[in-house]
Order: sequence, then C-alpha cells, then structure tokens
Amino acid sequence: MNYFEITGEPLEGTYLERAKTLLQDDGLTYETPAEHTYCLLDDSGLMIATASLDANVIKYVAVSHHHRGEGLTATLMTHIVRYAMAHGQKHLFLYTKPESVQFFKPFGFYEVQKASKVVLLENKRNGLASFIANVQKETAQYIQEHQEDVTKIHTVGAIVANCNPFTNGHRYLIETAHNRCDLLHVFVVSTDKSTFPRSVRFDLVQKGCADLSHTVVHSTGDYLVSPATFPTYFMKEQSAFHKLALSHELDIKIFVEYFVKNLHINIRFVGSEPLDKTTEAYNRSMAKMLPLSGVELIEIPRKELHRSPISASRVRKLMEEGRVKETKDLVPSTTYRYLISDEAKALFE
Amino acid sequence: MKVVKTGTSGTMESSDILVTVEESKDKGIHISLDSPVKKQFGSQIKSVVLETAKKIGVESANITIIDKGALDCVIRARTSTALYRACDSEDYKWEAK
Amino acid sequence: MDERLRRTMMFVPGNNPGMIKDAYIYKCDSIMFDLEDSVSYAEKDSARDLVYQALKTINYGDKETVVRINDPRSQGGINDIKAMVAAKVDVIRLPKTETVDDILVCQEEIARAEKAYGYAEGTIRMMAAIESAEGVLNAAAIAKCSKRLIGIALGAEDYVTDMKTKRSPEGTELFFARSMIIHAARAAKIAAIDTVYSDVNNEQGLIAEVTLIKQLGFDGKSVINPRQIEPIIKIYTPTEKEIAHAQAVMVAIEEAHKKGSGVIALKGKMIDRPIVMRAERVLKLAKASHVL
Repeated sequence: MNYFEITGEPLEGTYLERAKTLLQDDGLTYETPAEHTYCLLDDSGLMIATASLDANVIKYVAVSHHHRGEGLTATLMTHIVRYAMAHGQKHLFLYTKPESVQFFKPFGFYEVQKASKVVLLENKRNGLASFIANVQKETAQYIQEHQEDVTKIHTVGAIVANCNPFTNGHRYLIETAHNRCDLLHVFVVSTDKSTFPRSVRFDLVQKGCADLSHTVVHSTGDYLVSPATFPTYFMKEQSAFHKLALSHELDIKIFVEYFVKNLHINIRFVGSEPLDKTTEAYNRSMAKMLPLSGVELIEIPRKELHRSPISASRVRKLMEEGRVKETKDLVPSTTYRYLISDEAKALFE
Repeated sequence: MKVVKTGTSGTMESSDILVTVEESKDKGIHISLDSPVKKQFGSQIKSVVLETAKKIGVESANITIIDKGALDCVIRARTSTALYRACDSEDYKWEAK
Repeated sequence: MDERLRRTMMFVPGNNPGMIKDAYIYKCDSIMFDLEDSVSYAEKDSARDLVYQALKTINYGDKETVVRINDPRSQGGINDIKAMVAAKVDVIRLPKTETVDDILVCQEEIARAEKAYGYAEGTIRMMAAIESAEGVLNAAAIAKCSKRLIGIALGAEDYVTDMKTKRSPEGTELFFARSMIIHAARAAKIAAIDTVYSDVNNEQGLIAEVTLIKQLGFDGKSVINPRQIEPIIKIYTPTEKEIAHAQAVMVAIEEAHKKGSGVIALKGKMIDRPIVMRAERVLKLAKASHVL
C-alpha cells in the first residue's frame, strides 16, 4: 500500500490539526506538544495514522477506522522505535487506553502499571520488577557493609528528590527523616534533564549523606519522577491542575505497588513546596493517595537561611550570575567543593 | 570491526525482524530476543545472529531483536545491515554462490 | 535468442521480507527484485542485504531471477552489482537506460565482479529498461550493444513524465515507445517486456492492455500484484484452434521429412520457415500454460 510519510518536531499547522482530529476520533487528546510526531497519509493526502515520541515515551498513537487491519500500527511503531533508538533512547515507555494494550504487546511492550484511563507499558519484560530487585540488592549490600541490625528495622522511610544540586535544604530534609526511621531510602531522580548531570547529582547526594547511618542512596531509574511516570515535572509551562492530577496517578501508583510493597516503606518524606506549583500539586496528591495504602506522608518545612527557604534553584541562580562564593552557606562542604570546580563552572557557561 | 554507534535495520511488520546493535563494554555478543516463537526457535535465531556477527568480524556488541516470524535469511540480512551501520562501515564482503 | 518464456515478470520491492519470501509461490515466469525506486534512500543497504540473502537461500525453482539495481555510476549501484553477482542473480536490470554507454558502464562493473567471484564472463545477463524519450530514440542501438542483453523493457511511469503527458487506458501516448522497443527487440533478437499496469483492481483494463501489446508482438508484461498473473497467462495461452493448427503444421513437416519431399504444403498452403517457427512457438506457449 502506498502512503506518504511526514514528520514534525514538533508537528505544527494543518498537519497537527488533522492529527488531533484523528486522535479525537479514537478518544485521545493531544495535550502537550510531543518532540517528534510521525504521520501517514494516503494517496489523496488524507491522514490515516499517527504516532508520537516524547523523550522515551510513545503516545498519541491512532489509526483511522477505515484502515484498521492493514498493519499500519507496525509501520508506526517501527518508525518511532527506530527514531528513538537512533536518538539514544533504548528504554521506551508507551501510554495507551486499556482497550488498546493488546495492539502494542506484539511489538515487545509489557504492562507496567494501570491507572484509571491509561495503561503504561515498557519495552522490557519485567523491567520494573528487575529494577526493584536491584534496589533490594543495593539495600541488602548496604545493611551488610554497615552492619545494620535487620531485626531492629521497623520504620522504613523514603525520599525522592532531584537534588539539582544537593543543598543544605536537602541535607536537612534527609537528616530529619533519618531521625524518624530505622532505615531511609533516598531516591535520586535519574532523568537527565537538569542542569547538573545525573552522575554529578547522585555523587553529591552520596557524599552529602555518607556520614549518616541507616541511609542508603539509590537512583529512581525511569520509574519515579520520569517523563514516563510524571511528564509534567519536566515541562517548562505550568499546565492546568486537573491535567497534573492524572500525571501523578501513575507515578504514585508505581511507588505504592512496587517500591512500598517490596521495600516495606511506611513513610514518605517530602519538603514543603512554597515555590513550585508542580511539585506542590504532587505532594497534595500523595497526601490523598498514600494513606490509602498504609503509607504516611510527612511534610517537613524547608530549612531557611535569612528567612528564605534554601532551594536548589537559588543555588543555580547564583551560579548563573557567577556568584559561586555566595553558595557556601547554602550547601554542604562536599557540594561546595564541586561548585567551585572548573567542571561546575562549565555547566553554567 | 568495532561498533561505534547504534545501528538498526528491519521493521516490525510480519515476516520481518527489527535488529538494534549497540556498543557493549564487555567482550562478546549479548543478545536480547523478543519473538512469538521464542520457546521453539529462540536458540536458533540467536545462533544465526551470532554466526552473522562472527562472519562480519564483530566481537563485541549488544544486540536487541524483535522478531515477527522472519526466516533465517531475513535474520542474516537485517543483522548484517544493522552491524555495518553500527560500525559505520561499507567494507561489505559478498560471497560467491 | 534464448528460449525462455517471459510472459509475466513479477515486481517485488527489495526491502519487503514478506513479499520476498512468498515470491516463489507465484506462477510467474520471472521475479524482479527491486533495489531502486521502491526502496527509500535510507534503506538501500537493507534491501541489498535482504535480496542477496534471499537469492542465496531461497529456491525460486524455474523462475528467472532479475534485480533492478541503482545507477551503476553511483557507489550504491556498484555495491548492488557486487552483491547481486555474488548471489548469482540471473539478470541485472538497468533502470533508466538512455544510451549504449549506460549499458557498457554497467557491463564493465558486472564483468569486474564476475572475475572477482570466479564466474565465467557473461554468466550474469542484463536487461535494459527504457524510461525516457532519449532511451526510446536509442532503443535500437541499445538492444544490440551487448551479448548479455536478454531483453528490453518499457517503464511507462517515468517515460510519460519525461514526455509531459500522462497514462490513458487507450495507451496512445505509449504507442511510439512500444513500437520502437518491439522493433529494437526483434532486430536484436531479444525479448520485449511491456510496462506495469498499476490499477490492480481493474482486470478488464489489464486484459485490454495485454491483448494490445501481445498483438504488437511483446513477449510479456511486468506485474505488480500476483492477481495479474493468471489473466496475462490466459491471453498468452494459444486457443484450441491455434494449437490444432500448430500441431497440424508439425505433422506435415514430419511426413514430408519421411517422404523426403522438399516443398511442404498443408491444406494447400506452402509451409515455409516462418510458419514452422510460429507453430513451434505456439506449442511452447501451450505447454507452458499446461494446456498441452
């Protein structure tokens, strides 16, 4: 069958309008612009199929009702998967309606989590399960190395933070949490969309917590606060509140059904969010959902310096302005040592 | 030949196979396979891939395969193309019949 | 002239494993694997590898295998030739043949590859495809310029674009091109193959066109869908009357041989060499269509 292919990065104009119509016919909404969209048009220019990719998430996939059963999904998926791989994205996720899950399984996608109207799939069999198994392994290793007494572990806490970079504010949150539980998991966001690269952020957290007992640091992988589970976190524009609610559901559900269940987490600690609307809304959702699964949400007020909460954005702003010396009071010495380095300087040029 | 970037070939249409070749830090060819006939033909498919890599002279790579019922000759072709693309090479070695 | 029948040449896009693997099933005389226009630029290497592996592995039985390569003046085309010669394809089809030089350049690459793989020179045959005004005007010279050529074909899509017209059911716009090509083919004693009929759902249209080109003398037609094979074979199948006549001619020749007579007659008409040749051809077609 002959068809024309068009792509957009992102898709705009009349092609975008036609794609939106095609999606609407299938009950899907093109909410925020996707990085890459691929469309098929028939001989007369009519749009008959579309699929999009945003970071490592495949979404907005639809085939016209008149062209079902022609293998167009295979054509869409081949293009998108190959495009993603060519751009270094190997671990892919996919959102679709529960009724459509069967159409994507033949392409090597497996269910990760179901939310009310959407299902999240990934192209790794047991991807999340193996990730959690790895977290358990890291924890067991830590316990052994630090000779922690497993029998005395009753309260397990968790913190998920980007730490861009690791500040005294983060330290305060972690220290406070650490005092309230027998074992604390600190998950550093893996997604590399922040100013400080993932490896640096992770390293600074580890160094900054090295002196704390019963505190083990892990990365979130692609499973918490990632484009797949929490898309709006990484968006620059502030989306409407109701859209945010849906995008939390998956993240929080994954946290509950995989992390809480397998790591026996009792408490999730978060810092209060006076500035960031997205994170504030996320905390509110957690306050509602976590207790239903027996997990307490404890919000710890931000540590302040000169009546102003210590935040990573403050540190980044100072770095941008070349005022690195003024960050000294905001970060622990381990972070400061990095900030004054040439490598850190280069990040802000 | 050395793998220097990610190389892909093939499609996910029926009778075809999607092969992605990536750099591997360890020696050896590591294959991850997704196939509707994995139980019956999984090892056969893997051995065709290994044989192709050996023939081309690639000793280290991570190869991901999504099989949609491809014949051996299709597996050989797609694996070969993906490997050459991944090695950024046009040093093809055609063999006489 | 070689004896092979080329009533239908089935076109198979080179980057399509599904079609490539099924091609052996169809009752066509030739299969043409395409590495040129039906394959996107980014996938030329994929298609080449696929056709190479298929030719080396799959048994296509009695069918003639043909590959349409890319321009032999490009690295892609040269690679196509190397791979297809290695795989020992029967015929290499040169697209957009316009001059004798085009054939000679291609031929040289093929010869180089034959040498490298240890095949006797001339093992791999060639086919010219005329797709432009220039090509049509040079058809006679092209058809005669190489011993490797087994046929000359018309590619109407590109040709009508070059001619600034478009295809019609009557085929008026193709009349001159078809005439030149059939003359060039007959003078050079090679096969003449007509262009594809794209409307796969229009069997009547196909039958009308094949009837026309058969009358002009064409040996066969390119086909883009297996559905088109049967109707074409039917048209190239001699009628009972034609078969009966041909058999009668052969019997008359036999008898004359036995009697040692020089001049042979059948029902009052003299049988000379052209009549015998026509009768032989009819019987050959009849056998190929399994009606004899």
